[in-house]
Amino acid sequence: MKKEKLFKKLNVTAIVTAMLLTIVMIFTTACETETQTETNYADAEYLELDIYNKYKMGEKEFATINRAIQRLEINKEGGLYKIEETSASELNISQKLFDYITAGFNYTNSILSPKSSSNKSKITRLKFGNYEDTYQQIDSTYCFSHALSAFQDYSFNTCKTYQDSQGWQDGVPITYSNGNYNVSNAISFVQNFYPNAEQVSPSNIQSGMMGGSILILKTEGAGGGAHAVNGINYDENTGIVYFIDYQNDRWGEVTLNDIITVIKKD
Amino acid sequence: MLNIRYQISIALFLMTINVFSQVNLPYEQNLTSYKQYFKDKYGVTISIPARFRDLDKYRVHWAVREDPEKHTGFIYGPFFLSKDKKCMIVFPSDFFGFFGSFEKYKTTELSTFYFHPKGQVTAEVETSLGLYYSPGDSRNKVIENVDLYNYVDFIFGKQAKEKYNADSYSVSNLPDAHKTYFVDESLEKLRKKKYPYCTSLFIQKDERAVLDIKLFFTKKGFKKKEKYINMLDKHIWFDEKFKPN
Repeated sequence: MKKEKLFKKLNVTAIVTAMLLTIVMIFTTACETETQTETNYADAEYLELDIYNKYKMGEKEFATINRAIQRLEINKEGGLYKIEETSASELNISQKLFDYITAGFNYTNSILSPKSSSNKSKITRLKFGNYEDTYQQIDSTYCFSHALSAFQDYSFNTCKTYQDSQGWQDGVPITYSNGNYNVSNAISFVQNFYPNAEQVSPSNIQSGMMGGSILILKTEGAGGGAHAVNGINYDENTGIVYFIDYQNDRWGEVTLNDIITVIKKD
Repeated sequence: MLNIRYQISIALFLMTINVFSQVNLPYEQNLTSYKQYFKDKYGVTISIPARFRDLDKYRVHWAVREDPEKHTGFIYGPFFLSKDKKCMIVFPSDFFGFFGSFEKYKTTELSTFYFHPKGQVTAEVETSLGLYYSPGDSRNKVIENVDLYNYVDFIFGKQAKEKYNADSYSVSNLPDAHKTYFVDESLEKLRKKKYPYCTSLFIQKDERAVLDIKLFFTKKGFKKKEKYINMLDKHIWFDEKFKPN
């Protein structure tokens, strides 16, 4: 089989393995490629990927990922990998690539220690049960996949499988750092199924029925927690948005201030 | 987060400059349009019992608690008041089931009975008891079924079919119903003064929709709540042969 085809068939595990190998190289050799010993990458080549779908990635994309990883300062704490940098700008790489890599390391950490909480600072993951009887329980932690499948075009399992394949695990695939949310992964998640999907700022949503647009809500104010639901209705006169929480079969109300972002499917 | 009083202020302010613009709403705010919309969309025929009069109120926000940190609630209207004024029946502005089919994956061979709004019934009771805030909030506490059943009846089968041609329904009493809240000045004043009791009636037609009705009672009315609930029998009727567009 040709090399290109091999890359097309790489799965998340393979990507993680590539990352781990890169880390081993960083820790065990004095590799002179890139500007590994530098701490300022302002003059280094700006790194970005054209595609983030692992099934479409080729050798060029993996090489870029490896170069980006080499710019990271990675330490091992408690048997888990910790990325010291908190922003893409420090490394002169795109935010999306930074998020992609950090998500990969979080995935790696979860494999090394599934019960670890150390990776929660990077990827928001919410785990709270629904209230169905035991024999009715379904996977209750993939709120974003529940919200996406509520459009009725793709099954929950299809969305969940895609979410897993991207290394985003359960919960909402967004990152939170220094008071800011980065929702690019969440948007690309929806765009994988609905290419015309777009982000709408809460301040720009129109009064009336919302057609089930995905709302990413803040949980407990500050701290980066998030939860995905489907919007039903927004009343501009009161500022109240009604939603359905398909993960828990509940509905309720929030104000615009509780919403991180809105994603319309088209 | 805006608190409820602030929301009212905003609403009143906006009323003066914009008399509740109706953008992107699926039906006009009158009973004929409301009934026609749900007949067309979910195949349910709604008629109002003779002993109730229409208050001509639509799209009123209601919350289980007047607490900006507790998010359980919905948007309701039309409203109907019994002629003896002991009961106010409130219909939902929309039905649960906007996205189409029943979630079959939630049932298994061991679980052919699935009550879709059980989560919401539970959320209302939990919120009323002060146990539940909003999705994902670490302060949330879960009520066990054994305690939930002190407040709720779940009925499957024959009675649901006879009353509404539905598959199941629930009747639940909110423990601290006097703490609920309407984001509408006149309705809130009325509720606060005369209707400290609230009962939820959720009606489910499998693979179609759930209807979330609220009944507010005076003290005397609450003692005869079954009488008022029974007045709705056959006034909400799911068409068996309905086929959605």
